[in-house]
Amino acid sequence: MVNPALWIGEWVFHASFLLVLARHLRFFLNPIPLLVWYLQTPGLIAGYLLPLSLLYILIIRLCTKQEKYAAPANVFLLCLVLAISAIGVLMQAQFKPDLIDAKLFIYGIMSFTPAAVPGSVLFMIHFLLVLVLISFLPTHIVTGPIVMLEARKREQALQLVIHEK
Amino acid sequence: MKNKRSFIEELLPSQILEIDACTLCGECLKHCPVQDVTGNPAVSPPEKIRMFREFIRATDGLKARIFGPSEADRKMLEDFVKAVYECTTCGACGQNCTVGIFTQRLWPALRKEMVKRGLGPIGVQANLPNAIRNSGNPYDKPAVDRYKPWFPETVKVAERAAVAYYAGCTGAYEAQPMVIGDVLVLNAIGEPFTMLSPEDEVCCGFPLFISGQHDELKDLITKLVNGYKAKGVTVLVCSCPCCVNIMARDWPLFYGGALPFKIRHITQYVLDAVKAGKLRLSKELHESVIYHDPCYLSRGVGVIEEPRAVLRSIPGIRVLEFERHGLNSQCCGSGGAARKVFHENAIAMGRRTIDEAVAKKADRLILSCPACYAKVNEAMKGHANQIQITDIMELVSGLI
Repeated sequence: MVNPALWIGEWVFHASFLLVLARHLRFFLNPIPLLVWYLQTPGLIAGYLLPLSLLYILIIRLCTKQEKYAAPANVFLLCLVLAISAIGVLMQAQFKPDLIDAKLFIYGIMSFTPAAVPGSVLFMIHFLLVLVLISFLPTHIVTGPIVMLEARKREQALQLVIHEK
Repeated sequence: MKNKRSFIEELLPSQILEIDACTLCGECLKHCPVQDVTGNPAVSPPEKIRMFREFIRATDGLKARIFGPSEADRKMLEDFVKAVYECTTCGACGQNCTVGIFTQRLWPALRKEMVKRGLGPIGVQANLPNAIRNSGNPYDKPAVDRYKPWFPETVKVAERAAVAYYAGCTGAYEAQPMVIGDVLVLNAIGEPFTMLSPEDEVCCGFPLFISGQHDELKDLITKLVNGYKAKGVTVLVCSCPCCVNIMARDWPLFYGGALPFKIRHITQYVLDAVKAGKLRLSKELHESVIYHDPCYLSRGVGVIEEPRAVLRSIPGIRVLEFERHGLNSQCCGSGGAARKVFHENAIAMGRRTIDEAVAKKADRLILSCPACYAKVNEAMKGHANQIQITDIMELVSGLI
């Protein structure tokens, strides 16, 4: 009953977002676990798919007559992730920042020993937008799966409400 | 001060999670009957959730916990009250929710919160507790007229029996062909059945529950349960989906323990009788009928197959389906105690049901809910499309 076109976009977005996050773990972990190494290529492909899927979702949500409701908060988040991922693609494809500087900078924040800010302006915009995203990150990413599991249990239990147990 | 009070006191922990889990994706709007007839996203499910989140944030959010609760926005509260009471609580939004929010139960809980704050219910819904206290029914009609005008003289009711029949207020006062059909079929099955006296068969509590007015519920439910218990009842049969829903889901909570009897929708009881050979439908009916699933029967308690099986047991009949049926059935406009306040919406929804039944070339529209029966019949007055509307037991009783 859901809009299949939107569902495909949402699945690609969520899966690629997860892979991109996994790929970014290399900036936070030392030594880098083997699994994170294995996820570098899928994460790279997902990095290109991510902004494309967001553009696709945005077009469907704003331009399809079928969609009658678009929450401003949702559109804002969508645009924010789109900007972050687009800058990420630009840095990957064209304007590469110094990855050692980037890792030292992130590591410095994590260990309370501030390191020099990398010279790349794009990296700093990318980083600042991620900070904005964290503050606006919807909590449904945590509660949604719990509610989904409850809904599945409820659906199975529907036949026990009034039928013979 | 009132609006600074916590907004989550009336909610279950699972409902607080549900409010948080809504992604505001808007998928539910395609399934919302109120959206279909009003086209107004301001009264849509995600908008209600968005507004309620703002209230929770004001009184229970991180800032509120550190610096103290702030006043919930008055205008937004007014908008919310209108939106939550305009809803028919059909639950189609929840059925099609991408995260699976159980909205059929969430909206009444949010209404209860509004009642607690003195903001709900609206319109004639506010008279329900008084009417039920005065006369035992939400229509404020005399108890003496509950059975008398329609109860067939040929049907005998036992003083005590294992099976009891609850007619329900809407059936008894507003959809009498339905309850006449019920008792005729029960009589034909041949098992003795009992009923409470018209004074003792009070409202099941559903109108109060659904409008968020819970104060009288415990007394009403305890009175009814003890009444059936005293008659030695082990199975309580009822044809009204709303009554059946509250009996099965909420009576144990208000009664304070498991009920001493089972609840059965009449189609379940009749199907068992047909299967056991206690009821034979001897007359043929060469018609195409279309069955409308009441929201509180299908999505509410999962009774979907039984009414169809009863219909299919009629020789010669052809059973058609609405595009949206079963768990995805479309509200006919009668639900959620909204039909008396938002009459125009209810009529428009009822007419959509009629139009689809006519478009499907059905000879008859079969209903199994007294509220649907009363409202869809009302919607047909003056409407271009006309169809014969029959309650399922009204139909069966005529074919025995």
